[in-house]
Amino acid sequence: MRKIVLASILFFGVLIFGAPLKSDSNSAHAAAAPEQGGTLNIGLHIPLSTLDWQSTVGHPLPQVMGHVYEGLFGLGSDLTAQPELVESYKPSEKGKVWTFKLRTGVKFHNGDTLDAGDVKASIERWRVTGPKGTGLADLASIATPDAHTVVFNFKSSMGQFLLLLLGSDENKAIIMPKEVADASKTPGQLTEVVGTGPFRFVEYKEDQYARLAKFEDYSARSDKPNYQSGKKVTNVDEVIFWIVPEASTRVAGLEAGEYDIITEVPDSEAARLAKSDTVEPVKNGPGVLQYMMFNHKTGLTSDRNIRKAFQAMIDPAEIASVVVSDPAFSLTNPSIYAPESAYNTDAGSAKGKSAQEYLKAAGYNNEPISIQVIATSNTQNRIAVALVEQAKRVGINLQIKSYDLSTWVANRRDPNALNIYTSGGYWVDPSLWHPEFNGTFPSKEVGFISPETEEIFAKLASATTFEERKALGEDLQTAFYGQVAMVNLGYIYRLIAKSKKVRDPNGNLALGNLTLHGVWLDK
Amino acid sequence: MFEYALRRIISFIPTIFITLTLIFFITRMVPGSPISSLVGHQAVSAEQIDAITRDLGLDRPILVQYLEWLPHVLIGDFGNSLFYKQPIIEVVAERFPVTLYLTVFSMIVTISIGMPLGIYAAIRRGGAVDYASNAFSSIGMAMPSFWLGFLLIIVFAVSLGWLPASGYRSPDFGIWNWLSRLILPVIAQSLAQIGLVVRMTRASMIEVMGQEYITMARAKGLSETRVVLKHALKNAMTQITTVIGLTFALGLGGSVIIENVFALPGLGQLITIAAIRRDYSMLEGGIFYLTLVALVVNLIVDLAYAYFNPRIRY
Amino acid sequence: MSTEPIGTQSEKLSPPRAIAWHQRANPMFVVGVLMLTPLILMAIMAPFLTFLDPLSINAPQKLLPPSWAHPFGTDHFGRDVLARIVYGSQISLRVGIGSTILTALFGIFLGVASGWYHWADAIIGRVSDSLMIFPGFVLAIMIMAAIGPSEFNVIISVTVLYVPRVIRTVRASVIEFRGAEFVEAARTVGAGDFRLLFLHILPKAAGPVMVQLSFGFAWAILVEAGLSFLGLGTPPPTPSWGSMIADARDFIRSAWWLITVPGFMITLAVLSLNLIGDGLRDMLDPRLQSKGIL
Repeated sequence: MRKIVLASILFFGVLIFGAPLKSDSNSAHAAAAPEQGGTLNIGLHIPLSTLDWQSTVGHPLPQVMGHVYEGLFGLGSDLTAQPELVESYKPSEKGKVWTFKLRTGVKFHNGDTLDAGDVKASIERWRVTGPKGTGLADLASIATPDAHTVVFNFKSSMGQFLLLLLGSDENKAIIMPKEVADASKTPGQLTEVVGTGPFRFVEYKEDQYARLAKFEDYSARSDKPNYQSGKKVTNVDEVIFWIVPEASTRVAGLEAGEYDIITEVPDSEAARLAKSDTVEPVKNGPGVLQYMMFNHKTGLTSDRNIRKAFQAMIDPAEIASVVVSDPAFSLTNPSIYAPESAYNTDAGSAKGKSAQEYLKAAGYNNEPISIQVIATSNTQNRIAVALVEQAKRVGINLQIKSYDLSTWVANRRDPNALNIYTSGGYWVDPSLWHPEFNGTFPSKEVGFISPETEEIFAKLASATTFEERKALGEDLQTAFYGQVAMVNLGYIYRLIAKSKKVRDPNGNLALGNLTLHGVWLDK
Repeated sequence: MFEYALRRIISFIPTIFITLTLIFFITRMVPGSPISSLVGHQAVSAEQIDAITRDLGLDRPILVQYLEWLPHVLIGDFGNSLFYKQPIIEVVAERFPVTLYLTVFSMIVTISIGMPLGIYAAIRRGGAVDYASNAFSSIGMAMPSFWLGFLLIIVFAVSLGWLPASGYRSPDFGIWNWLSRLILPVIAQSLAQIGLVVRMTRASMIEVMGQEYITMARAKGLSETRVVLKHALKNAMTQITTVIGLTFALGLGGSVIIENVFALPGLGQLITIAAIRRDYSMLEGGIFYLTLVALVVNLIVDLAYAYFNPRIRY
Repeated sequence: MSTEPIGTQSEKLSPPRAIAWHQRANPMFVVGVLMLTPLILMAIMAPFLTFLDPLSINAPQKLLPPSWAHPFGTDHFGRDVLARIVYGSQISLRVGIGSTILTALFGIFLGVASGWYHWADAIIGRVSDSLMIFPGFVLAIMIMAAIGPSEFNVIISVTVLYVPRVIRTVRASVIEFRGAEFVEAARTVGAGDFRLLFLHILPKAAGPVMVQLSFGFAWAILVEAGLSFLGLGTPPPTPSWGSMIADARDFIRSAWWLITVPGFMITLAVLSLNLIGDGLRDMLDPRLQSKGIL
């Protein structure tokens, strides 16, 4: 069975990632037998904007709801798609038809048993409400020949289907009971939080805490634990996510023993926490690419020479060192694929001429160019401050425009407002760049699209061997850099911290968004 | 008195009406819309945005929206928050206890320190305590409360480890869990208020102590304590009540900064975030609440006037 | 914020009667001036006080503790904190002065109008009452969220919030003197409204307005700092004391100098202005405070 699974993944053969990132501290405790029970208190950096994970991306829904819900596939510790609710599956016709066999006897938190109807209703809802669900535009139909079989028919090759279902670990295609999915057509309007995960949702007190409790009837897989997939072991009775937006107070709370784990720790705390007897920092991968995005359709930045000048002026090492104070948590790397990814490459990253030459070619005459930041984002502000200084050195008049989130988002779409913005993310597969660079993001009026890259994306959709995909991935990066679709500003790592009482035998905390499977409390 | 109160309440109506109207038009005329916050960082098509806009009724002429909106809010129905998907009143009710505890405790601390200090400074005018309390209140009022908050966190939570740094727990989690998290915010909130109350008490007491009837009371051979507390203080209370009342009203509006520094889920944060996200109905409801609190406290202050100063007749 | 301006019911209270300056300079006033002068000099002389650029980043020099080369250390960009403090005083003072001038202009104009003309009072009074019942800082945030962070917008929002208080003070003086003998006398010799107001009545209101404005100045500095702290004030990389504190949040344990110095400077500036205001008021009439007029 395992063989079929592996052989049929379209990015197969090679694991995208090498060994999973490991938290140093865990190996020492790994041998101890997990203790049962207790409440895990987590200091979470951001309140839940909604309980409807299908309708949203971004923190902290994956951190919280990732324990309540499961998808057809989950992320494995190598960041590939691994079966979660699916028992076995089979693609055919170059990835146009996908047949999934569901696991049997899986219970929802409301006591119902999972069947194909639930899957169909959930995926249909996600497709409409999910920000990442738009990737299923070519889905022609979903058939449910029997209670445990689901067949997806596409109009074109969907080599990236399994990865799409993971929603970049931010907006997963999670499965809920059909009644709930059907009753909650409007995005953000979920009638009930019912999943199949190892924890059930108990309550959310707005801006105070979210509480989950162990789901006693959880039906675990039998294969060995593999990050979000494999056998999920629940050792604690209860998890409370406390909403603590202020970073310094999260850290103080951890040290005082109020929280067992805290998210989004400022890297400036790493060295100090590492010396503590009671708590420890955990470096959280994969590296997050920080990138500069342009208005590609109007204004100065629609001129390739101007964008080239930015590309040439960047000193990623300086940006990394001012954005992240501890060098262990940043990395300069020429690739648009995460440093841990097998697709990582330096293709097309040679810089070419100097910034001044490009500026001259563009006929640039000190016109102001703006970079918009979210006022409350430390990372964006720091990157922008460094960029302004680097721009000054080559003679570009770059100015920071600081906005609240909603204005920032609105302006990003607006061709008259946008010049440049920065953002971050990680990409583990070339196809996953497509939603961002198919000319619609952030809006049609400003987004990047080119025939050259569209052609590469089309080839990727039906490319089946890793070698083939790897070569196309290199072509894509070369094309991106050549046209300056975006500019790579370097990678930063996230940092979480935990009490030493928290044992994480599988090293799940060092990877992606918070995953608590297998974690236990040493009392 | 009752008639006066009624008259005041009726006079609130135009104020509330004007405020709500202003807020309606200002929120809708500024750039940024709730849709961009609703869709967040995602790639959405122009059609999807149009659809959401239609769903929310934001595509119609603003005057039509206003005329439809007005009758609802005049009976206190602000609808559901765009983000919390709950009736406004429920969202406010959830946050209200946090703000109420913070305000009430700060007021208790403020009054129990500020008033005695002010009275003492007035009696021993020019003495050491007078100077010290003046310096204390001046500095307290000048310190930015977010800075003070961080200093308190550094000292009491980080260095000494006596108190939790932040967050809020409802009393269900145990009295100490609840109370210990309010101590630092209450100190930070009180310090500036104490300054105000000390000064007001001192100034009013000095003025009252210079009045003839105080001299008369002294001449009658009443003890100094009695003169100060019974005669002088009661008369000085009119002004002191005003300041305390207004401070209380401001506190109930929620302190954005204190809530931000100490991660308290209070009303200040709620209303500010509503403004930032352009959650129209939440913002309107929040402002309506603020208006109401301020007006009610104003009314109470007015009525207290009558109590402390029987010479005022309405 | 610490000094939320407190609105009071002036209609219940008698307006200032004795507008006469006490002769002796008040010690609070003197101390306030002595404290403020170096701050103003610092803002004016900034380029001579430090040769370091408050903006240029220098990654290898980041987060250095105080030393001879950097008396207040360096921040996470390797920028000199002293230079940023020095240039930061310019923002605080510009916002303070800008909003004080705007507040004075609008406050006097609207205050006179509402004190002199009943019809104007009906509108101006209602609107300024509506503004005054809100917690000032919440309103400032809403205004900034609406119009976007910039130095000029901070000035606008401070002005909007503080103007009602000046209007009220001016209005009270105008109403008091509207029927005064010297006004009647001037009127009988043919002085028009404009002349009466600006030559005869306004000078009488100058004292209370000045007191009100010096508190307004202090409040503007606090509001600018608070807004910058929340990321809604002066946008980076311009040095502002408030945003320096916000930036220092991540380093309260590892780099104490980052948070202490700017907070101290804000306290100093606000304190000196409050002292000047207190001193002015006491020189004018110590009873004004207990009257709730100032």
